Amino acid sequence: MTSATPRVAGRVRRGPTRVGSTTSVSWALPAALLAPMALFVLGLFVLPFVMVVTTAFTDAATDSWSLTNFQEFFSRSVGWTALRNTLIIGVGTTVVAAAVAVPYAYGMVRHPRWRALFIAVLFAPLLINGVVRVFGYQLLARFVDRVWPWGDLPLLYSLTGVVISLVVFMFPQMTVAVFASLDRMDRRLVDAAQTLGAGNWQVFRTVVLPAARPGIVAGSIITFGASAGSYLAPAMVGGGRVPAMPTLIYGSVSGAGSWNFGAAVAVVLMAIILPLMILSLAQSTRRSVP
Amino acid sequence: MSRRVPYANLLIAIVLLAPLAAVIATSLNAGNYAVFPPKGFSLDWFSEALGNTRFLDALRLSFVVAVASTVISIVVGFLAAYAMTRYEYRGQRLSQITALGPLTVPEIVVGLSVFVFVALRLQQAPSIPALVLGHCVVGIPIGLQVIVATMASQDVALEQAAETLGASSWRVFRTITLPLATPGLIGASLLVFIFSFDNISISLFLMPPGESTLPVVMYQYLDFRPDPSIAAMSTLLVALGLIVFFVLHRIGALKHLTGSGLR
Repeated sequence: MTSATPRVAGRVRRGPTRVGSTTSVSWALPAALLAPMALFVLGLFVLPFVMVVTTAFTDAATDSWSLTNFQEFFSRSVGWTALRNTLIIGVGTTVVAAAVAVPYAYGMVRHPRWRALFIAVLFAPLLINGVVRVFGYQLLARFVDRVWPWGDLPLLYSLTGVVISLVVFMFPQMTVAVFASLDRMDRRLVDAAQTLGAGNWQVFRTVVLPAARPGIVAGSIITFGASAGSYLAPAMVGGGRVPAMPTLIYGSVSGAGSWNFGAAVAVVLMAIILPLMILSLAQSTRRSVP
Repeated sequence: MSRRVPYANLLIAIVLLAPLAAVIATSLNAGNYAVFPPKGFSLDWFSEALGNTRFLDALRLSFVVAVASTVISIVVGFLAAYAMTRYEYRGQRLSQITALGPLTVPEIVVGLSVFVFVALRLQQAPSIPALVLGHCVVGIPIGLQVIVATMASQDVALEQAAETLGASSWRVFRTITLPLATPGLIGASLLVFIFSFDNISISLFLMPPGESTLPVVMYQYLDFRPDPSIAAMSTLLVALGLIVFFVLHRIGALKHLTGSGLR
């Protein structure tokens, strides 16, 4: 036992960690294994973000603590417009994606033979370059706009277009979350409701929708964060006419060279997204990580 | 079970795949403009794209950066995953939550953070190492998720049995732990590679002066001169994505995909 003890001592499913000389060993090994990751998380994620926050609270001219960058953000229309657009993009994409995802996921539950195909359709676009996907959306939008006989469609260079494109891009994430919930639903509930005389709509509203709710909540958090934080959609579909917070962040760092202002925009964006994300992270690790 | 054809789902599926089909069709244009539907048919724009030195230089940089980020992310992720699935320690859940933290932050903010850190603290200009490390910040949790899921589903009894029968720690690791983790490591590598290869929001901040990754070059190219060679390059990337899709499907790692998206 003695030679194998150090490695086995802290093993999962081996009961409680031993006391005495082995405890220090069982502490040291996992700590050493986790150290590189901790270095990355602390050194290149936490510390840099803290620096972004301090940069945001620093006046570029005097190099001292101040609220000037945030005052600039909230006093100029460009700040308010970006904030408004980002909220509309986040909420709009989430609501529309959920409205389409629930019937799609329900269709997957109801048609097991088609399920593999419908899942493949969801996953395949996720591995394809984002610039390419937006380029495809642009090509298609121009085509649809050309053949559409009744006036102009707002598919490009508009807030509506940005939301529509993001619904196409975010739809898979939302649907997989909703499907995970619906797949656990007891199918006999649907049969029972139908036997008792419920129509399709009533079954959907009273049985399917409640079963889908946890998935809708989880999917909405992911979709809101990803669409509100998306740079490509407002930049490429909006074409400079839909300023959002991610484009404002990059624009103020690359163009005007005002890091402090860009950092302040990033802090405001994080203040919107972070509470939701912490909630979802706590939820997801409880379920998936042992 | 319903026998009817799910028309609503088929319609949505078509809408989801239509942008990709439009890209592929556009790459076959015979004319000088990237338009859909294509005018005429030719494969000339593929040779045009593959002869474009801007594309090729960018492709090379993207490939080098993606390989480097993948290797670092998988090694770091595997070590952490081993600790998380084979040991009990105080703060275990906290370590798991913090490790996934970078996945919850918009990439544009990750890019800005690393850029500010490199510029203000290290007093350096953006460089290839900075670009690789920036990608690793998100690549590590992407890989970690997949590896942890694979290793957590392994039966620890196999390792314990080998130990009881007198195998050394190294032998147990080499003959049992590592082979069983291999599908997870392959899946994780592919996901991290694709993430890095496709990334734009972090790369925008960290590219060395005068050099660009492929997504950034394509993004800029689309802004000013969209001839069908950009569609040809895009079609090659669609093909790459689909190949990775089928490999992930084969090894059953597709389910780990939904944590990431278009960012």
